[in-house]
Amino acid sequence: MFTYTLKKLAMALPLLWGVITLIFFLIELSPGDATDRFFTPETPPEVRQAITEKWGLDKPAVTRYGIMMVNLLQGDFGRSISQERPVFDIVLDALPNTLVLSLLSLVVINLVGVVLGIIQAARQYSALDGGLSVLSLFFYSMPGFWLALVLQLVFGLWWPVLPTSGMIDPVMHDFMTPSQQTWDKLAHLVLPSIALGVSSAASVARYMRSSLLEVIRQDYIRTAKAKGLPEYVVVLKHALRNALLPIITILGMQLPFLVSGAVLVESIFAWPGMGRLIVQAIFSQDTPLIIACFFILTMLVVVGNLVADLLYAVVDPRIRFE
Amino acid sequence: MGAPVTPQDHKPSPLGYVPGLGHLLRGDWPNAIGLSVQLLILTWAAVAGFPRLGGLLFPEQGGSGLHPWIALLSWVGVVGLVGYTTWAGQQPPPPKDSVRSPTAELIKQFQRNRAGVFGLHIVSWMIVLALLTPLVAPFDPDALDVGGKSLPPQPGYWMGTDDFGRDLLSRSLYGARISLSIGFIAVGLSATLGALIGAVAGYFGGWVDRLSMWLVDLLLALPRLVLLLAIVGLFRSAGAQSLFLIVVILGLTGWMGVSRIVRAQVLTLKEQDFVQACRAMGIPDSRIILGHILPNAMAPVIVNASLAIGGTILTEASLSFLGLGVPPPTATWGSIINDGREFMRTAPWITIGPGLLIVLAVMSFNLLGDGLRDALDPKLRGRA
Amino acid sequence: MPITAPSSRALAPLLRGLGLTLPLALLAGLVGCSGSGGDGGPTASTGGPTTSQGPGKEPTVEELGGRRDALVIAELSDADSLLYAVSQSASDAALIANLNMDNFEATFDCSLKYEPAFYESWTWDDTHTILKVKLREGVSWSDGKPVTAHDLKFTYDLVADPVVASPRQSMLEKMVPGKAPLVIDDYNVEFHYQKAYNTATMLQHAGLAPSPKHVLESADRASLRGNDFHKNPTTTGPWRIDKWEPDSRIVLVPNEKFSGPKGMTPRLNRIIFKIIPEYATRLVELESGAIDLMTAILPTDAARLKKSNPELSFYRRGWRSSDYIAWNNFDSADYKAQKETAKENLDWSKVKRHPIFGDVATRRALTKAIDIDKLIKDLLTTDDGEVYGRRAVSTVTPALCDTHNNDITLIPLNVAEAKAELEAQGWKDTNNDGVLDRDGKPFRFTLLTNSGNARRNKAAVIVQDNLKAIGVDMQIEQVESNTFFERLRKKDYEAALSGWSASLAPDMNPMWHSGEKYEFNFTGYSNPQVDQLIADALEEPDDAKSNAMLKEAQRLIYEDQPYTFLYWMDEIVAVHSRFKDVRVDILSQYRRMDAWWVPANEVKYPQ
Repeated sequence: MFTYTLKKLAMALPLLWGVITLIFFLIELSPGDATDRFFTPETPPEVRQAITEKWGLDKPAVTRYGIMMVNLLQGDFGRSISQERPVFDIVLDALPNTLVLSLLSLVVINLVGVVLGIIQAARQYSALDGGLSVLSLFFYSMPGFWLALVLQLVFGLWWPVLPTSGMIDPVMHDFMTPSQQTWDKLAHLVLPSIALGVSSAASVARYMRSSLLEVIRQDYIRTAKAKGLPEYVVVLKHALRNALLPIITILGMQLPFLVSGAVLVESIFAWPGMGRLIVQAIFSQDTPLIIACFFILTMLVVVGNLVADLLYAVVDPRIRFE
Repeated sequence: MGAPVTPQDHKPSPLGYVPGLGHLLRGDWPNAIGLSVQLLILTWAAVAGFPRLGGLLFPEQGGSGLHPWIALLSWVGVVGLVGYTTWAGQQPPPPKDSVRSPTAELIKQFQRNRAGVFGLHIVSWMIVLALLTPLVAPFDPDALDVGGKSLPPQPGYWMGTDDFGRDLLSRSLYGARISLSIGFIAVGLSATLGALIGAVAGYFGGWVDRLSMWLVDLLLALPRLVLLLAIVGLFRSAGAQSLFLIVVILGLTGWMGVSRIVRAQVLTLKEQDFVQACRAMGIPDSRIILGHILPNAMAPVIVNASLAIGGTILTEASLSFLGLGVPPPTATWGSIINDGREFMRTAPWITIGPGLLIVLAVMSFNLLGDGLRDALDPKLRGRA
Repeated sequence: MPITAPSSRALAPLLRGLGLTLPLALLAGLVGCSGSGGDGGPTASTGGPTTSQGPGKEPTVEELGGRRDALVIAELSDADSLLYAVSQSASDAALIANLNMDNFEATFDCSLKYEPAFYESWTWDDTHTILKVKLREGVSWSDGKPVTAHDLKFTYDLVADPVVASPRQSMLEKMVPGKAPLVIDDYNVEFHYQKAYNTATMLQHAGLAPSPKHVLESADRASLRGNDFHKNPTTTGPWRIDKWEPDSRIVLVPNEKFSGPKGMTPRLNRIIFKIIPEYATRLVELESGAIDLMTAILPTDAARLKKSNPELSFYRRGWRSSDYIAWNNFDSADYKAQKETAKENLDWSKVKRHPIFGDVATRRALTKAIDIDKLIKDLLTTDDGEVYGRRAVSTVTPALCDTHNNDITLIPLNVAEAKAELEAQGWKDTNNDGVLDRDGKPFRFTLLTNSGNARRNKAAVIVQDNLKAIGVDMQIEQVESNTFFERLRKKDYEAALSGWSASLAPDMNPMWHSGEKYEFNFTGYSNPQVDQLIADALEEPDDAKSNAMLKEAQRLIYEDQPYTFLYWMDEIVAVHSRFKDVRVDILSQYRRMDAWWVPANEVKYPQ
């Protein structure tokens, strides 16, 4: 399993290289660069020259690409041009916040989705099934940012029970006991994670329902039923395991999807994470920062897929890694 | 439905001649509602499109709000629909074990999925409404102050007005044109591109296959919205924010899923006898791919496309929300929501109405796609 | 964030929205100066607070019986740089000003007035070119070291160093190199100017607050923006940074080692800046009480907020920013081509005129067609009829009441006349498509504006509607703020809807003097008479005389309509009314927060 993990990660290298190269030349082709922000009309030409040279922007794109790749191989992401801080530090500030939000979303999404799917499949064609189907389709078809705005309106003002922005209470957090602080953080997570996760949860429920229905039709389940086992035992013990396989497959795809959603949701809920950072980096054409963001994103995808693969093995004993 | 009518206890009811009612009597509610509303809209269009009648009914448009050919199409549509519904309403439920043509089988399969039929109807209403917008919309979508600023929904202003005093129903209708066009054209582009790339990769194999699938993996590794954000965001000053380019960019970033599916199909198809026969006959590869393989791999592409239209409409809305969508004053559903976000407190209807329209549209496309998938290829059920 | 109070080169385009730091950077800000005043003191709008007892009369900490309560301020974006020499945004400047003691205590009453702060006293020599300053003794850095003339000199050297690329370099350009400033001893310096200029401008240029030499001396100047200094700066003011969580919040607590005047000891326990990029979210937070201070509230929300949240007080900042439509005098393609070869020596008279906007009569006709009063009514008036805008006639803010020309006759709205005048120019709708044409070319152009500014985008749509009525087809192109400013500067546009954040020092040269040196002259406006007047005014020490020249220049410019001047805006700032002696005024969105206090029975956060 360890060697399998290593092999998978090694296979991700060309992918990473491709993403970085693609993004680098995309930035190169776009007009303007990150140092524009330092120039005022009065900036003397020699200063412009000095700044351009300082960031190495006077060299041809291919040279800079080469330098960047060499640095990346040594684990050096460089300094952000817009913030003049090491890119690594900036990303390190934002990444944990995004991970907290999206991992929590991920857990809730899959729990809720799987449970709903099971309920629906067990009561196929009932009113409950129909109602839940419509509901999950409704949420699945909903723009996340729109839901975020509506949630904020409903739970921030009409029925003000939940905090609507930020990660902590800006004033009281410092005076709370550790357990209160945990609650404070959880309360702040509720609305953003709902806005972020609802559509994915709905999609998981849809997959779960159809996957479970397919499994239930199979012979071994019929046999189990024929043996007179109670339905919940059949469903939960025998069918669920196999029905989960497709869910695990899409699990790997959920993480990048969540990061996409985070771009919008983080800005609405003032959540200081990667989504906002990416937008800022792109708008300021900050090449090192953009590259680092995309590097992290791609790594998330790779790791997400790897975790899905490993989980697959846990659920399906037929699979062995070499 | 070309099923032979077998003698059964079926007496045509006179009510069955009323369009849609026949379906209703048989308990086929999605078709009943769908057909009658469609008929209503088409009749309206047909009447209004007729210059003199239209002038009487819609003096403000002077009966000229519509292209003559749309009016003509509407007439054809009305006649056809009336004909079909009266006929279909009279038909007894077809017997279970009769043999049908493949098309009839497909329709039957699709008709079985009530949700899919419902989705199809909503999609067709939306298309019809979008076509007829100049007629249906009560106001010029860009006209300021048509009755007051930020009016809540009320008779005359069914979706309310925005902070400019523009009528939101009219804007949403015109927005539907743009949003739906973006969805259809971008998906058309990406489906074509994806099918071609997938077919070529699957057919030739080797390094072509490896390279294109590597590209697919690469592009799939990036969340689509973030990739779009990078492209439109970086090139915004070079004019990337035009309707045309947004559509093209959406199309160029959405083909990966299709190409994977088509490739898988092609891999199985190319081993089949008819392809081998074509090869043996010396038919050029391009003709084999375009003429023989692709048509046989189209079913999943169509399913994927109808599902992707919903996703594309959502993506466009997200781009608009980031301020990177189609530039104003052109209204799209996303840009109306974006315009309204500052007024979420004072005039939530600016945001909520078009948002619900997006949900409805995306839902219908998803229902339609699910229905098509079930009808076209039961094996595909449960897959992305 | 708006760029506020640039100094010598005067004005900076007001580019709100996005919450990104802007490139223009512009020039030194005086925002930071502490002091009271504004448009005649903090102006409370109707229903606003009347508790302000006036500057210097607020109760001391002892009288209050100790510090209490916390103030939560909503900010659009995180602070970027806390070193004056390199900071760029107005919000940074406001933060720096509260962390540091300023050189002058600035007040504003029709013009900027300077009173002693760190500069204890100052005198001019007979030629009015040397400013002799005596520094306050006993002021120390937060690490205990005394603040001396060497720190001041070091700060000016930093700004002068090209490697630093300071946005405030222009503060030095009127001074003699090497004597900007000249250190006499630890507490005496002299600023030597090249000529005698307008006094306010000269003082403004001496206003750069000191940075700690002992901390930054050995720092790498090329990467000052990224120096760790920003996270925990060594300061001289009543507040210090306790916590800085990036993109989330900044917590200020009183600086226990503060060595300035007793009256500047903070009366609040803590100040928290919470970063919330979305307007709608800030509004929700304000209404639910999660934040205490929100800036730039839309007039459309103000009326409702007053009713729904009676605990809020609303402050008007005064006429600080304006919007205008710039009509490019030049054919941008020809300008670009000539600029490439001629560089700084480009002769403007040789550049081809814009086929439509190169002509005064056309520009005046367009102004006649634009319903500016409607813009003010739609964009800057609350539902209950309170007006937060007034018509603009020049780039000089009406707040500078002795400099602003109040006697200009406005060009009235007259659609019929506008049509007639365009027809006289040869514009007729010959093909009946609803758009005027001349020589087979339709009257069609693109108005450039920046995205992320809802008000400006709205104004653009209304103007589009106005012009459609006279048969002019205007397209709107939105570009992102950085690009927008860049294109204005390169004169790469036809017409642009933009704005200025007004300078409080009356210098009109940067925007209206002709020549490549003045890149803020976006329209390529060139009028020898105006050039003469505004250049002379800058070098005229007598305020009455220079004001007269500037008024005449404003009149001449208005006649030429290089801009269609739209309106001045009064920014609305909401503050919870438990805070007393609040300073929200034309100088800053929040100033002298050391003076703000809360009565014992109204405390919200007892901790």
